[in-house]
Amino acid sequence: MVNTLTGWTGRQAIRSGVYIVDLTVFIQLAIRDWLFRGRFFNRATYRSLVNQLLFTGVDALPLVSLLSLAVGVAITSQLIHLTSDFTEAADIIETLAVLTTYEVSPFLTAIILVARSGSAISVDLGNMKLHGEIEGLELLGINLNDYLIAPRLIAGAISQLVLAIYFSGIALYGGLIAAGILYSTSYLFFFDNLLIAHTPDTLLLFVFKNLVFGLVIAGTACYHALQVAGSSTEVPRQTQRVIVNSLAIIAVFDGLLAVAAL
Amino acid sequence: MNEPVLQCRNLLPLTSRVQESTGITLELPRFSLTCIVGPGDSGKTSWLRLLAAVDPAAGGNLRLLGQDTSWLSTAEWRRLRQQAGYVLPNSALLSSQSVLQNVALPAQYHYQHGWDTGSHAEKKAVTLLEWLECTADPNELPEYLPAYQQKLVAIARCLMLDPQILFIDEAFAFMDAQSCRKIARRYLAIRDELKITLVLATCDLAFAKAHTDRFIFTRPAGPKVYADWASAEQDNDEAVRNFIRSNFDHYSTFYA
Repeated sequence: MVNTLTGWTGRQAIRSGVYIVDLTVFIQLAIRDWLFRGRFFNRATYRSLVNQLLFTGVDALPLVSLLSLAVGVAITSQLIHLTSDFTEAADIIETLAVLTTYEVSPFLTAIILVARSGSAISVDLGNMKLHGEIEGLELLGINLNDYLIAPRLIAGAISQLVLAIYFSGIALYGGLIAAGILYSTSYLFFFDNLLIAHTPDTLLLFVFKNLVFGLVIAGTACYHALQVAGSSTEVPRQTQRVIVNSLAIIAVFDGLLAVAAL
Repeated sequence: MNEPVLQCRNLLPLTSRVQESTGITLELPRFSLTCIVGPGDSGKTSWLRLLAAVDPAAGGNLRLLGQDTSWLSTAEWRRLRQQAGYVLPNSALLSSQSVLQNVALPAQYHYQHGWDTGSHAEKKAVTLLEWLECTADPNELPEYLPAYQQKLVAIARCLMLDPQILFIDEAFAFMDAQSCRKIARRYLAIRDELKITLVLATCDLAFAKAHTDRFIFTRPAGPKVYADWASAEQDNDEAVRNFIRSNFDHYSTFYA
């Protein structure tokens, strides 16, 4: 029983390691093919990138706005409720800024992106593979990494970063305004503290984390979509893997980064 | 210039379903029209893909457009694909892009007209669609087009790159008699006016008889290459005779 359990754990660990290596190489190759093509964009690739940015970034704005405002109000209220008896208002605001900007906003934005764009990319590319559209492109001498994968990776990374910034802004300022209305108008005088809480190091970490999140989400989606073969039942199966795997990778990476940053 | 556009010797496919032991040996001159015919599931597509250097060979040698295809790098294979077009059986157009975007795509991707002159690619696409007598709305999604129009759009997409040779799988599949006649005329125009070598995989024996410079008959025992229709009819091979006898009348109703 013990052997079986340790064996299973070992196999899962090896499988996960190999998967991460595969995924990393897949993303690297796509970026390399895009970079080494000579010119970064042609009209076809550029149009593909713009479409992805519109879908992944711009179209997600209403949902991100709603969620960030709700989360901002909830976190601010809880934080004030729990700590206002023994902490200065300025400290509460700084804690709120750090917590929301570096942990809550990247992670919740990533969840939105996984649910919206990761699954959509997976279904889109999976169906393209199933219907021979991808082979049709290859037979025209088109490099899939350059035309299909790289624009999605770039759009994923940029969208994640921009949406996380937008999420933080709405959550923090929305939360502060809500606190000003619900608890005390004195909170409205702490807008500056929201900016003071950030240092160049933590901002760099924020950018790095979000870019990696975006690459992981789009990369996992493309990687699994291209595994679709033969049957239409493969599409939902691979989409499920995209959602589960990208969330797991993001959670683990987020945890590791938080520990490393201490 | 007089070099054959395609040369192969003892070429063997990887598919285990085909049982031939000697492979196929042939030369296709420029501007010729070759048909691969044979019963359903006899490996027409496998042979077409093999001759087009889409699939790797199990053995033998293939020179396509003067290039030995045995050891092509990925980049070389992609460059070859721009000169050797291949139309898949289901046309495989991008379902999320309009007819015009589909056709203009390869030229835009390969910088055929540079970055700033993207409209040139679209103009060329419209001209090609008109030349092919494709009446589809350029802004329509391919999904809503009949098979005949989809095939024309897929051919136009390949022609955007000015290929020297064009391979078309299931050249007349899913089309009514009128569409078959129309598209057959376009195939002949592609060969005669655009000076492109054509290789078609089809069941249409009437077309093969009337217009093909040579044809390849696929059968489980291996393919046979005929220089003309008469030599196929005179062949004593039972598989060939049976197929011609049982299918010619049926397909003649589609194409006259």
